[in-house]
Amino acid sequence: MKIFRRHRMNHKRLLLTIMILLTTGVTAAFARGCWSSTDRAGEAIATVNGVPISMAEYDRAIRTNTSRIIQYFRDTYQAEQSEGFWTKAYDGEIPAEMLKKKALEDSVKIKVRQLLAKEQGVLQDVSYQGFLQQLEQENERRTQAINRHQVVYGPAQYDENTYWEYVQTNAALAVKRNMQQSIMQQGESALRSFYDEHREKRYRTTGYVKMKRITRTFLDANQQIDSSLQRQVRKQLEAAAEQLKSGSTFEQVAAAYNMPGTALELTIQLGDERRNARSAVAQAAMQLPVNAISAMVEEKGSYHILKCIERVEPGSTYQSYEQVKDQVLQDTVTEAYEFTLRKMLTTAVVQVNEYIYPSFQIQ
Amino acid sequence: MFRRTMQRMLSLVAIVTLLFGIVAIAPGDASAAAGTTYYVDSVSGNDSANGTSEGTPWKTLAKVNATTFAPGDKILFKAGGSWQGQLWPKGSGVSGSPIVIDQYGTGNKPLITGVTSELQTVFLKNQEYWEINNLEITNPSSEPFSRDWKGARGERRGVYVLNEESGILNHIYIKNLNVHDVDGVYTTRSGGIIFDSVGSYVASAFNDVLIDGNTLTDVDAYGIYIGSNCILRYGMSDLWEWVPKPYGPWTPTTNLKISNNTVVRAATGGIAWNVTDGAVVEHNTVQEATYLATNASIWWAYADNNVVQFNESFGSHHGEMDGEGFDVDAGNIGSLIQYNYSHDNAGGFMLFVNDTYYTTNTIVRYNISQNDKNHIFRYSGSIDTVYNYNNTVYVGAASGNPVMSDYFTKSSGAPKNIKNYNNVYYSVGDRGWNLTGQTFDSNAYFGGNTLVSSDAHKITGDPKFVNPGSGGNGMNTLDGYKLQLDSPLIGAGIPIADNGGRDYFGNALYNGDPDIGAFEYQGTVPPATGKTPIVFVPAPITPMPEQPKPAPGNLAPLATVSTTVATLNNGSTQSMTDSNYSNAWSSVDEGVTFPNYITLDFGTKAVTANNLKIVTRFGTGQGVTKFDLEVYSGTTWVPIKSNVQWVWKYSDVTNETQSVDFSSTTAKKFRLKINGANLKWGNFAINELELYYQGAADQAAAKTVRDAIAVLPAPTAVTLADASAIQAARAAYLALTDVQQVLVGDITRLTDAEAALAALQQPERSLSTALSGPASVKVNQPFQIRVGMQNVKDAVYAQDISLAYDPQIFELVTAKSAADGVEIIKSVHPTPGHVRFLVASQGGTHAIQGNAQVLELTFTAKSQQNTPSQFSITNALLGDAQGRELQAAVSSLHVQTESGTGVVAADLNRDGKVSIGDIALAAVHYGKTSEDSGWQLVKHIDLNGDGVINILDLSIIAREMI
Repeated sequence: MKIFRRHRMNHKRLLLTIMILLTTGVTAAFARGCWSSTDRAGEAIATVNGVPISMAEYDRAIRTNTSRIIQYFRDTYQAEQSEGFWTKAYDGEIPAEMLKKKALEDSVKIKVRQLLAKEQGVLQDVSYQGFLQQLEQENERRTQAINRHQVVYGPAQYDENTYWEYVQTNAALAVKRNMQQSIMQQGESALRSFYDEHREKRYRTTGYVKMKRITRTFLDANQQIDSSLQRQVRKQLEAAAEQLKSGSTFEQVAAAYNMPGTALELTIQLGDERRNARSAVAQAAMQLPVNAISAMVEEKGSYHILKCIERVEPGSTYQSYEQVKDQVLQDTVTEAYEFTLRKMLTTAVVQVNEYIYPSFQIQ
Repeated sequence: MFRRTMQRMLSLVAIVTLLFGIVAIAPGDASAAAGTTYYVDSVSGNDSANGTSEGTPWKTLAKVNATTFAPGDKILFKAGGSWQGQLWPKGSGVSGSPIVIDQYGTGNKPLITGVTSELQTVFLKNQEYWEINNLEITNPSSEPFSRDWKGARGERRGVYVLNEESGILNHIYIKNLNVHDVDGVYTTRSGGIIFDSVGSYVASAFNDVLIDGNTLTDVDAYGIYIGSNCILRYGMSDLWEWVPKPYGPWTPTTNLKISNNTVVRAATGGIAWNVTDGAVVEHNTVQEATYLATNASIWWAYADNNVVQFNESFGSHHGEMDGEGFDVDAGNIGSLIQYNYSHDNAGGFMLFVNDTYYTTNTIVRYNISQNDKNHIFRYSGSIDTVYNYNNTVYVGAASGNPVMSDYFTKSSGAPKNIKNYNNVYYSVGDRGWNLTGQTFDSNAYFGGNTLVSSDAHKITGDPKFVNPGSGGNGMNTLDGYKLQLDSPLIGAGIPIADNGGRDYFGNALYNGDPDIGAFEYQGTVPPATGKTPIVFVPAPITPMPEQPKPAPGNLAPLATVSTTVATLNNGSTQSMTDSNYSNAWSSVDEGVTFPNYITLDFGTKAVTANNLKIVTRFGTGQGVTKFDLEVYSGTTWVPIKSNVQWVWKYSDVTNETQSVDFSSTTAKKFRLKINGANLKWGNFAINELELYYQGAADQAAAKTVRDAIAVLPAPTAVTLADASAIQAARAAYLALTDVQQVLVGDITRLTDAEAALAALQQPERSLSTALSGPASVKVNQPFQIRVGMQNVKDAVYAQDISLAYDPQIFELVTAKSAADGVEIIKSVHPTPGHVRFLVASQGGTHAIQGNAQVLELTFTAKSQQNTPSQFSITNALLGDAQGRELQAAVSSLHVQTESGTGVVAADLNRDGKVSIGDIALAAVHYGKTSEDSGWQLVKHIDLNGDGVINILDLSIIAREMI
């Protein structure tokens, strides 16, 4: 943005210099995080085991957590966003301090995660500079691929935030894959003992309800609801219900009333929440004791009468190791990953920059 | 440091800001409507300022929320600024002039933190033509995540775009937002960016929605969700508890595009959409979805014609239920899933699951799945017609021994018609397939239990990938799935028609014969061998019933509608002529007086009309009750129908139509002078205004026929060449209704032409054979077929006749001449079922002329058939006195065979006769009834069909013996 021209006279030259200084100063002050992180990439707000957390990384953590701090202080102290909000003490709690502390904690956690990835050979470079270079390369690859009409999955260009998350998640996945390999090499006994240790909380059955049912549809040949057919079917099933009351067996009545080709038995998996939550049949089944017969249920163009023949309540038994060994493996890996991180975190040597940290101001 | 310096220069900063500000205001797009730009600065703004310049910005969200914006307006928030609360600006743009929210200045995106008292941080309700860009949006809560949809957090959203009973709302663009920390409960109306249509009374949806370039992180429950309660079709009736009832008829959101978004750590699903038509979801990254609870990363339901491509879906957390990269869910018709990369998902690659009317017509092609876990493919419920082709599936150690596919039946049905072509399955360990409902052809199987032995063209050698399993961080790593030049997958696939034209890597298809897998090898290969391509055969789609709408010929949509009474809220006079009974125009609900006018202006083209219809819902409350109809003469308004009075009957959503006829009038402007209406709620309303020239269709049809008759030649000029025109005119006339025929008027010209034509034509009634015989015959009873000649002009003395029949059914017994003095000289049986007769007359007096029977053939039917069987003359040559040979037209005859309870049925031992052996057989089973378990085997003995084998059946047999 070249506003100023060199042919101005001397006194104006002075003004010019001041203006330029101002401009640079203001620009730098305004720009944090994604803008001029390269200016300040050399500075570290802290180190973890000697590895620096750059200002850019810290800025990101600050920005990510700003909202929650604002919300906390509003909910707890009805504090409004105002000129002095960040530095005011609310019953001893100062928003800026809380935010800086949280951001530091988050930054350390993320750096530890990266260090674990580096240890495992998944990430070579855990510096922010390195990350930015990788981002630039990735975006360049994408641009070229698009020009060559090649596939690009995901966005055409990554921005810093998004690519950061992408790299972190993939690194964590790679670390877990490595851990899974070593766990699998140890053989099944490790998995079995994980299962034994955790089956109480994790590997109980989610349960199911097995039913016999009578179902008739009131959709016409075009799959539309036919209201006169609906009335008819309703009457038919009311008659069926009467027969059940007067002692006919469910199988007999079902044979008489079910549409040809209808399977007599139906099982609802109680762990299938997303679908059970939109199914009147599933919800009726969930309440039905063994041998009980339901009231008429309407669902998706059919009427149903259900009889529960078997129930396994959620949590009532354990799934066997054989049934859940895939999940056990995944859980063992996740546990190992989290455990390793926790350990690294507690033993990490964190040195906070005595000059930058205290004077870091929240705008 | 820099911050201290800046603080000392605060006074000068203002000047610099001004300078920057002036430079920063680039001239706007000259073609946009001249709207106003408003600036909002959370630090230096002031709500009493005019807001229209960077130097005089507003300050708070409250100020913005209190403003109703106009088309073309911009609302710019200062970069680096921070607000807390809800942003809900009012107003709507129009086509070409949306209202735009964006940032100004440089720095971090303006931050809006939600507050506990508002469920959504950015809100639009019943508004259209908005674009929201470049904001950072959060909505945190201190309450924990809950699967209970009534949990303490509430259905919290980052951006909530709501359409409540507002019909179709257009053009909502959400771009480049940073949405994070949205703490909602587990419902589909809760999450980062939520669109919601509630159309219980007015079918509602969106058109032209773009959600692009947003990042959504740590959002509960969903990242992006498009939802609706307008789900009713094909018997669909149940949805989650939190979706408002009553549900509306299926009304899709159209022109939806979700692209270039990244969703990180969504508590349940990443991106999901319901009730759309033609949605395109591409170039998104969904990572670590199902972070807190089971769901699927990318899924859709009750949606038609979906395209899901170029997405990376990976790292989902919960695989114990669902947890797949992609889920074709309930009630979808037509989905194309292509060029996606799915990896490391806890619950597998593809889920097909449905509990309502069949999800049909899904194509999954040219995708790469690497290290997905648990179950790679899952088929559950009413799924019909899936083509999986040219996918590369890599099951590595990290997959942890998944099943390749599993299969579940639900009350809605069972998955069927699943076809797999040209896929490569590379496994280091898996638990194999559930093959129910699936066919496999031309796939490659390597390792684990992937092999499907029924695959007629399977490849089982090492696929020779460049570097399998190496897909990871960064685009180029999937190059590992390219093929080495000696891969057995090259050229081993089967061509698929309409294959999309490119492989995963963008290479054109095909190079020689198709390759198996997602990569089409581009090196030198032998030429294609012309294999027959597989064509996608869709499951049939039941058409939806037509919504009631104006009849054809409605003139009203040609006009511009205006009213002298103001319109309620966000309504539009256009609703009266949009051919949609669901959209109503309503007057304001206060201060309505009469008369007021509704004018239809047809511009420069006059129209002729003789009927007006008005459709109103809740007519007893808001229908028009008294009006005059007027037209504009050019200088004044002239009444053409006065004092029309209507009484409305319905007080509900029934489309009630009132109609008034008037003398046919031609004008450029029509208007209703409304003198009275039901004002139960203060307003009156019209769902649709329709104007017709009735009889227009009849007039047009009659005119066409009249014109066709008028061009016929005069009787003296008719030639044979005019025959088709004359016949066509007659046919057209006969096809008209009585009313239309009357409108045609006098058709003397047609009848005269027909008479003239008839006189010209020599009916050349042609020489032909004729077959006659009984219409039906009983088995084993002889019957006669007669062969005759017709229209023999000149006497013939000899005939060569060939006859064909089914020898399995009929048997020729005898053949003789049917005419005196005519003899069969020779009969030939070249093959069974064919017989040829050479017949000659004995002298001139016994010639055949005119119509005559020539042959009498006796046949018996050997067996009973359900359909009639045919006798055909296949050739007939006649010779005349001069020795000339004339070809007679062939003919045929159908004869139905019936079984008798006669001879054959009683021949129980099938020895060709009815005798004592048959009696004995019947006697052995004497007394058996239809209740007995072996009845099926003996019921043929029950000759009289009364359900018991007894003396009555024995006497039937006895009768046949004698």
